[in-house]
Amino acid sequence: MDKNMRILVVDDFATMRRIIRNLLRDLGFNNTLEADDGTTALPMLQNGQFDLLITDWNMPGMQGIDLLQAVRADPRLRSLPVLMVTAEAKRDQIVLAAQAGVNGYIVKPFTAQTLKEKIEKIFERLESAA
Amino acid sequence: MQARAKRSRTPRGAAAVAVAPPQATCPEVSTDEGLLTAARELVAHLEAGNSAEAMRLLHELTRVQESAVYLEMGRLTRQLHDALARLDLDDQLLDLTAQEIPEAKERLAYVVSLTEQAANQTLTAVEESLPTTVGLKDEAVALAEAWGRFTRGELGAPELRAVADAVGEFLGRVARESEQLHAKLSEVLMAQGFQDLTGQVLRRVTGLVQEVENSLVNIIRLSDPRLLGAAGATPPAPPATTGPSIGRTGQAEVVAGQDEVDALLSSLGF
Repeated sequence: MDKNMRILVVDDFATMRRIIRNLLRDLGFNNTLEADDGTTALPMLQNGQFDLLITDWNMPGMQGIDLLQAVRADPRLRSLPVLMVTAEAKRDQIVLAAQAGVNGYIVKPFTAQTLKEKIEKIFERLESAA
Repeated sequence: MQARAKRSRTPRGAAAVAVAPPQATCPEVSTDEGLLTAARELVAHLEAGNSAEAMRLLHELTRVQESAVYLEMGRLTRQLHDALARLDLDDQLLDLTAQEIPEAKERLAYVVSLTEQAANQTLTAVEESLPTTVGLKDEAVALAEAWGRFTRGELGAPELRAVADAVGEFLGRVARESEQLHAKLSEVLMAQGFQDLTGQVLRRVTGLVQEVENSLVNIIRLSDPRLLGAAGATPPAPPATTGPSIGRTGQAEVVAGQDEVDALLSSLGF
């Protein structure tokens, strides 16, 4: 797991993006960019070389689940690791995200420890699958 | 259409002496003319002493009037029924009063509780950090004074040893307590996560208020026929997502925390 990996954090609440960015910095990840919606995030992903997408679900323009599906449908982005960090805790939605190919799902409110564990787990699995 | 009874023209001023034919029908009373005719007929019967005929005519007239009243009442009743039916079919209103408004109150209570919790977490972290910073600063000031004496060559050998030890210990203390401060500041950082959750909840409540407003406007329009036909603004469709769970217990379709999320995902093979 490269600490210099490029991470995109997507959430319509700026405070949440700040919190996640600070947590990532604490974990040693200093290469983080932000987007406030799925509609702004998708072109950034398509034009930049990102190694991890962290996204909320509820966003006004394009929801996280739609962004996830768009990412999985794009041949250039298909294998991008995606971690959802969201207040949506309905079983149906978690299942939907899993079926759409999400790599991890964190429910708000969450702890710094949880974020660390989920990111590590994502890359452990990718490395063992490789 | 009832045929008008034939009668002879009576000279003006002369008393009318008319004998109503046995099969008399009720004159058309929807016009003033018709009413006048009927009144004359009634008078004629009375003057002729035909009280039975007069009563019959009176009954006919009353019945016609009554039916006009009934017609009007029937029309109004129909209107009222339709209006009520429209309200009845408005499930949204039922939803609002029975479910969404109480939910909105719960949501606002949740916002209050969440903001209070965040404020307390922050205050605690600050209260625990301030003494640390004060302690570090005080010891740094004291050691600086000793260090000053060292650099001015005022320290004898035993004092030098003591100061060196003290400085070494102090450096250790700074390292430890900096880490503690880092942890406290991280707690403050995480406590700010409330704003995202309360923001989402408040947006939903605002949406609900908008729906209530639209429904009230529609009711007002229904009650005032002049405004019928002016369409009310369609309320925003309720979001398909639930937003932050506000702690109501017993919701089977909502998971209770990260552990349940993990359990659900591993049961799916993730």
